[in-house]
Amino acid sequence: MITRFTALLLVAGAGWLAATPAQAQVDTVRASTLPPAQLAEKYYNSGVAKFADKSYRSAIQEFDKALAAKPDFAKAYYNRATTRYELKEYEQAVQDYDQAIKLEPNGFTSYFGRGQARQALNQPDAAEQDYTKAAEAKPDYAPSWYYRGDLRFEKGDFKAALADFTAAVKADPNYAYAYHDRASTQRQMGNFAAAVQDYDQALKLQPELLSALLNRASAKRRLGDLKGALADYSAYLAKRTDNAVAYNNRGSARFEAGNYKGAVEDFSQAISLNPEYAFAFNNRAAAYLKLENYKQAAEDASRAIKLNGSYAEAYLNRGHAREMLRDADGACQDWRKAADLGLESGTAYANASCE
Amino acid sequence: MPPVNKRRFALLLMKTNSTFSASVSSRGFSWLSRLMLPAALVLSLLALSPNALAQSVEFSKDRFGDNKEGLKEALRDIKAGDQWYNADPPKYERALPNYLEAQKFNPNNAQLNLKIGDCYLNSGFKSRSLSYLQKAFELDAEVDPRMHYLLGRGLHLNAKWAEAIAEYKKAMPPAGAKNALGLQQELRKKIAECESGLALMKKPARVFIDNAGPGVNSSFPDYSPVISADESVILFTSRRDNSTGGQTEPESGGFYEDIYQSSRSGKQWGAARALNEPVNTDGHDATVGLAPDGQRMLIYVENNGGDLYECDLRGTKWSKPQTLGRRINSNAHESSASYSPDGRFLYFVSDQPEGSLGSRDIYKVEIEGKGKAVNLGPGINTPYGEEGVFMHPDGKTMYFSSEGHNSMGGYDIFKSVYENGKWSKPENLGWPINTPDDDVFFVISASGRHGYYSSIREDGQGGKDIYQITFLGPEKPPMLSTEDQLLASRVAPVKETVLAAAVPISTTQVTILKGVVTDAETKQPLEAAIDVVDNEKNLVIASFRSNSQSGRYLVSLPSGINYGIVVRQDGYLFHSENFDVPAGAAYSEVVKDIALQRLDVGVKVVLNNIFFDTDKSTLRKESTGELERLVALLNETPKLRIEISGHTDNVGNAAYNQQLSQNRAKVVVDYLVTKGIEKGRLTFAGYGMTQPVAPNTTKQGRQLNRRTEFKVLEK
Repeated sequence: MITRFTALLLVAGAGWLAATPAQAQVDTVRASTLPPAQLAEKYYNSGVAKFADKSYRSAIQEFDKALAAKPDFAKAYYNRATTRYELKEYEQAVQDYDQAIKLEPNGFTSYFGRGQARQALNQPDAAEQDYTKAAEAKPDYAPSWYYRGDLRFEKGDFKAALADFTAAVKADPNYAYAYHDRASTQRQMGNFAAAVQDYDQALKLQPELLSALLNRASAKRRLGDLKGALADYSAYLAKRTDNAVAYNNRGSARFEAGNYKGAVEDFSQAISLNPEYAFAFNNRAAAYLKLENYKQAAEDASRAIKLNGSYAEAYLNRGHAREMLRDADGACQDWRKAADLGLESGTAYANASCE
Repeated sequence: MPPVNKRRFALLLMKTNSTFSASVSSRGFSWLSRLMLPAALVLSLLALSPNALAQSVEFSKDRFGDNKEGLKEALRDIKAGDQWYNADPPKYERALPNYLEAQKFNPNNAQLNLKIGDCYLNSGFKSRSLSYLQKAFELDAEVDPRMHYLLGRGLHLNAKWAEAIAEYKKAMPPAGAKNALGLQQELRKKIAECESGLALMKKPARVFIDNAGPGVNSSFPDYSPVISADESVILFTSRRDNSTGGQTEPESGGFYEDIYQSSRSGKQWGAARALNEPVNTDGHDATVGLAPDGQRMLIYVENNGGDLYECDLRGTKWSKPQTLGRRINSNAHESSASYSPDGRFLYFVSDQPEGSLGSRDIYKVEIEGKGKAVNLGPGINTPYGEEGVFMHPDGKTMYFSSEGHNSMGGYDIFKSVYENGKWSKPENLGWPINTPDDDVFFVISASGRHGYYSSIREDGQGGKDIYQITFLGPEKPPMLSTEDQLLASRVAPVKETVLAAAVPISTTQVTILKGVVTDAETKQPLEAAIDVVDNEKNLVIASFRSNSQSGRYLVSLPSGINYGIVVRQDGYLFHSENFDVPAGAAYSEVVKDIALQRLDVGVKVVLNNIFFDTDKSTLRKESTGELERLVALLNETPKLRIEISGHTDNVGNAAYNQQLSQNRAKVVVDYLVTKGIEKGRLTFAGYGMTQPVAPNTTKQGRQLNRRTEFKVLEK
């Protein structure tokens, strides 16, 4: 479901594939027009071919030779950088992009590529700057906007992210990922109806983008459309049954709908897919509380706490379970711990029920 | 019948006598037999197939010719039981052992099953009636004209609401039948009770109901618990075989009532012991109420149709109970009462007819006043009985039992709050606190966390037992966590910050202030007067005394008042504390031990109830009471010379603080002079921040340091 950016080898004349999230370019030069003396270009094209075969190490060697023959060969730097990115050698990729930019300061592709590499190096601010340069140089290149939007989303600057995703879909109206992430941005801003609309659009453009189904379900839940949410979750789970998050979410929706037994089933499924999934343990504890199975509830909450020692909600829920199990002291301890971890309701419960 | 039972059931019996006879004889039921016959026939025809073999087995030689001895004995038992059963008034519980013996010999006699069912209906184990009544009906649908009514009762008392309604409907007399109106009314009331039960049971109260444990409960009946506001002491009534005087009551065969007391030790109650004379006597002595501080008790005495008495705790000994007087005790039956938290008013129950809204009603009276007791009115009192009144230490929340309102049967416990000049609509405390049977004499702690009442339950130590109710409050919603993979190009999910709103927690609005008063020098407990003053109005609201033996005191301070607490005793300087409890302040318990100082040269006393405007040296009007106390002290002790001193915390400039504290001290001295105190007896000083009594590092510490003090210079 999550498509990582893929470097695409471009033979001259090829364009973008709009539906894919982003394409770094590996430029090529038409081989048939090569003059006999152009040794560097020959190596270069050989490198491009090796890249296409995913023989990245060999490709690097070819680009090395090309650069040895022609040290100001900007495209060779660019392609070597892109190849290194594929090999996850991000620092060296950044160095090569630096060279390419130095030689060709007006191209946008190197900025974009360096942005990707810096993002991989977890330098979001530097990456954001590169995307900005790329977007300035070529505003109709949608991925620059898209990736900058994601970085801004992650910073929590949803307003700026929203503008970026809007620019991305303006540059490329078939950009499903951009619709998807704009939907998520709307959702974070509390605009659930707008979020549902954008997820709809993303799914229309790319029906196999299943995360849109999952996220649309959550947005519908927040809109109070439990029925619609459950339908989306189930549609997702009909296609993919290996995602613990999806089961955890459907379980939560079932919980909200008062179907506590169904919720327990979903949380159990999530746990069997990911035995370390603290959320699912905590949520199953919540469902057991509703089913008045306080012993199981306390056990599950304990499992969640064992997986995450600072899990405030799990302490709170275990407090509720312990109260009903007549362990008043234990309950008070848990509520106070939940309060220490930032849940105000913990204080309220402790004040009302503890000595 | 013991007084407590009588208090509960006398009316019930009277009422049933006027409608349904309490005995099984068919006197006055001609209408019913006429009504019942065809219906019963239809029913027995309908029931023919599964119950074709069910037929009443007579206690006759034809059936038991092979066991003449057994038959003779069974007939003897029935005869003995009948004597109790047909007595006036009937003694159902005493008839039961005989009947049950005969039942062992022949369990299939319709008449005997009916009588056992009827006895159980009128016993402490009402729910046990149902199986016998159902069997009686199965054996002979026409065994008694009241069959459907009795089945309705049996089902009702087992909380089988819908089935009970069906039986009550079958028992409904046709319009125009003899006594039809009254009977219809009664049945309609019962049906309404079942409907209330059905509704209340759907949303049970979130409580734990626990046996109060072996420290309190015995194999004998234990009931009518009363507690101090902080639940440190419980007093209750019990009918044990070590009863004072050791006699049994001829009518019931039970021991006479005595009052027992137990103290809390940790989470348990310590072993209860009976109070000595003069409280416990050879006759019945029953608990009714206890002041929040546990120093004043109300008891019930059988005199004069049932009267209320009170006694005080002096050290460890209760004084001789005194009648509450004619404004409270009429010739009618006064059975229950509760003090207001300031001890000035009494809420009590009486069935005196004058001004009554029907049956027993709740009244309020100023104990030391002259006015007549006032009926609490139709918001609280109904045409049916009200009983077991209890005023919470917050002074506005009343708990009481009623047969009216939306009771699910018999007396149910209700709660009403006095706000904006009227009582709120009484709220049924709900299932499982309330049951189809009588639920009465409920008390609740100041914190509102625990209630106490008596009940007959299967997990009891025997007979009626005292139970503790733990109120859990509204359901505590669990919290879920979800996350979503919000960015299509990212794998890491984003946690959703969906937070369920915290539910409002309703806690009672009262502050309990308690502690021990001692002599500052000898550290010995001290009996002292404790005045609770409304500073705003400069009015003494209530006066209490600390216990002479333990020095303990407890005052309940309902929210919404700036309180001055003045502790005084002859030969000691008064001690003042300030408790500003704003309106809406939630429950809290403050422990404050107070050491009184003898009037000696060099002794210092903090005047906690002198208030100044912020950063100014103008006295606020709430200070008047404290200043008047100071004037009184100086007038009473003509040789007394004092220094008034002002102190500040360490916030701000030292010179400024010194000046401010000095100005403030001077203002107090000036005030005293205007009240005629000779100038030469008074000096003033401002010490600024130089004499802290607590670290200035906390808010509380700084508050303690900002103070006005006086020091004895000469006496």
